Amino acid sequence: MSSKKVRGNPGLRRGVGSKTTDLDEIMEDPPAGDWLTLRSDQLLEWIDNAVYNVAETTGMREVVNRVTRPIFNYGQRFSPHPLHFGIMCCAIEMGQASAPDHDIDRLGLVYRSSPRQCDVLIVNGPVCEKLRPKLKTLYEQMPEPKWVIAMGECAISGGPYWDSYSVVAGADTFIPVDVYIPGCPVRPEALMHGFLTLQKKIREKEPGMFLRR
Amino acid sequence: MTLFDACRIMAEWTVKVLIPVFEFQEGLFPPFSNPAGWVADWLATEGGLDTMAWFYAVNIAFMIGMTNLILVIHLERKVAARIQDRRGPMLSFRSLRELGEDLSGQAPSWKFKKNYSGIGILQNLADGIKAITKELIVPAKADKFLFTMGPIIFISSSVFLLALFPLSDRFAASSAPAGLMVIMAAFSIAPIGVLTSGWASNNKYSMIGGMRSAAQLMSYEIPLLLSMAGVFLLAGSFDPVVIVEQQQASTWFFGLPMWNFIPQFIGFAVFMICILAEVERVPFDLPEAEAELVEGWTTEYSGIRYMLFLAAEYIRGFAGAAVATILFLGGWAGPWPVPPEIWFLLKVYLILLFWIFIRWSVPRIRTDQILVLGWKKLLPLSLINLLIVIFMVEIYPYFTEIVNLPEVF
Ligand code: SF4
Repeated sequence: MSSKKVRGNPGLRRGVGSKTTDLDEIMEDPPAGDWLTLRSDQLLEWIDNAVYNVAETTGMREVVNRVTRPIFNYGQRFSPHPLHFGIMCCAIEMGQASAPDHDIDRLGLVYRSSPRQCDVLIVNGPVCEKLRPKLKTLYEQMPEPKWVIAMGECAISGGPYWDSYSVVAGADTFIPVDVYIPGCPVRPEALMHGFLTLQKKIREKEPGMFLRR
Repeated sequence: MTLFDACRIMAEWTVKVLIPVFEFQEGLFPPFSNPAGWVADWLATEGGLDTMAWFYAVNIAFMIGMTNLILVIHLERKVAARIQDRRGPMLSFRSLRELGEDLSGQAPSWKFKKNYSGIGILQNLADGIKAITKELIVPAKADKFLFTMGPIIFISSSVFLLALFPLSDRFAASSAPAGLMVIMAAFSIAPIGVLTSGWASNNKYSMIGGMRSAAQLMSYEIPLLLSMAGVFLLAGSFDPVVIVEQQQASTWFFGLPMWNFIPQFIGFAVFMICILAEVERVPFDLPEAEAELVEGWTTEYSGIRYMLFLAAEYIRGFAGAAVATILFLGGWAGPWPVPPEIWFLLKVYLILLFWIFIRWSVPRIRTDQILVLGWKKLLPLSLINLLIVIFMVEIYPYFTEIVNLPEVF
C-alpha cells in the first residue's frame, strides 16, 4: 500500500509511511506561540500536521485508508483522461483508437487539451532535445496522481532514431514511465491493452489517498 | 396536494421527533440549555415549520436536478457515440464486483470484458470519484482570491437555477410571481464567474475565453429577452404557471391547445438560438473553443473544480431546456394518463436530444459572426415577433368581434 518510489511532486508523498510516536512532534506548538495570533494558513498547516500525525500514530489512517482506497481507486482506474498531445506517427494510431473501429471511449477515455485536467500522458513518438523541456513541463503541470504511457519504440528507446544526435533515448530518461507499449507503430488494440495494463497497475500499486502528504 | 404541502407535513413530523430530543438535551447540559430551547420553540412556530418545509422542498428539487444531471451527461456521451457510429462508455455494474473484492480484501480478479459490457452510467460515478481525488492546483501567478471565487460564482448561480423552475403547477420548490425573470437573472450571473476565473488564471487562453464570454453575453441577451417578451405579453404574467395555463387555454383547430411555438414560431427560433448561446453549447461554445483556446476559461482548473464546471454547464443546459419548454412547448400540459411532471421531463429531454444532435453536427461560429448574428439578424427577428404578438393581442380580437368570426386565437 505504501509507495516506495517518490514520483512527481515529492512534497505530496513526503509523509507516506512515516511513523512517529513522539508526543511533542504529534502535537507541536503553533509556530507563533500564541493561538490568537496565528494566520489562517498557519492554523490550517498546524491542523493538517496534527490530524495527520494523530491518524498515523493511532492507526486510524490505515483503517480509513482500507475503506477509502478501493473507492478512490475505482474512480481513478476507470476514468483515465489522457492529454490530447501528439508527437509523431503513433499519434495517428492514437486518433484511430478513438475512431469508430476501435472505440476507446468504451474505456471511459476523454481526451482533454489542458494538462491540468489529465491523468495520463501518452508519449507517442520520438522526443527530441528541443521537445524534452516542454514535455517535462507538461508532465509537471498535470495534477497528482498521474501516469505516463510510453507508446511505440521511439518513446521507449529512441526506436528507428536510436543513433540520432537529437533524439532522447526513451521517455524514461526524464519522466517516470508506467506502461511501455512496444510496436512501430503501436496498433490501436495495443494501446487499449496498454490502458487495461495501466488499470491493473493502478489497482495494485496506487497507495490510496486518505491524508496523503 | 402540492410539493410544499407534502414538505410541510414532513416538517411537522420532524419537529415532533426533534422537540423531545431538544427537551432531553435541555435537561442534560444546564449551562447550554437555552439555545436548544429557543431552537425548539422556534421550530414549533408557523415560521419555523415553513422554513423547514422550504428546506425540504429545495432539497428535493436539488436532488431531482442532480439525478437529471447524471442522466443528461450519460445521454450526451451515448448519443454522441451513436452519431459517430460508436458505442460510448460501457462501464457495467459488474465492475462494482472489483470494488467489493478490494473492500473485502479478496484476491483481485481480472474480468475486463465483464467490466466493459454494460450501459456505462457508472462512468459518471468513476469520473466524479476521480475528480475528488485529484490535486487542486492554483497557479503560482494566479490571483488566488478570484481564482477561488470564479468557480463559486459560476457553480452556485447554476445550481440555484434548479430551485427556480417548476416541474408542474403542483411540483415547484419556488413559486414567485416573477419566476421567469428570476430565472433569467440567475442565468446571466454566470458570465461574470467565467470572466472572473478567466482573468484570475493569469493565462492568455483563459483570458481570451473570459472576454469572449462577455462579448457573447452582449450579443445574445437582448434578442433572448425580446423573444421572451412576446410570451409574457400573451400571458400577461411572468409566472410559469400562468404562462402554461394560457397556452393550454388558447385553442387552435379541432380544439387542440395552441402552444406558443405555433403563433410565435419566429420567437421560438430566436429563443432556441439564444438559449443555446446562453448555456454555451456548440455552436456557441466560444469561451471554451478547444481547437483555438486550450480549454478556454477552464484551462487552469484541475480536479473537482473542473468537474463541477462541467456539471454546472449541464445543469444550465437542463435549466435552459426547461425554460424553453415552459415558454413555448406548453410546459407540463399533456394528455391525461401520463402525470404532468413526466410530460415536462419528456419535453425537456426532447430539446436536450435536439441540442446534442446539433452539437455533433455543426461547426463552431466565430466571435464576430455571433455579434453579427445577434445584433443584425436575431434582434430584428425578435422585434418582428413582438409585433406579431401585439397584433394578436390588441388588433385581431377587435376584428373578430366586429365581423363575428369564430375565435381562432
Ligand atoms: S514508434 Fe514508429 S510509428 Fe511510433 S512514432 Fe516512432 S517511428 Fe513513428
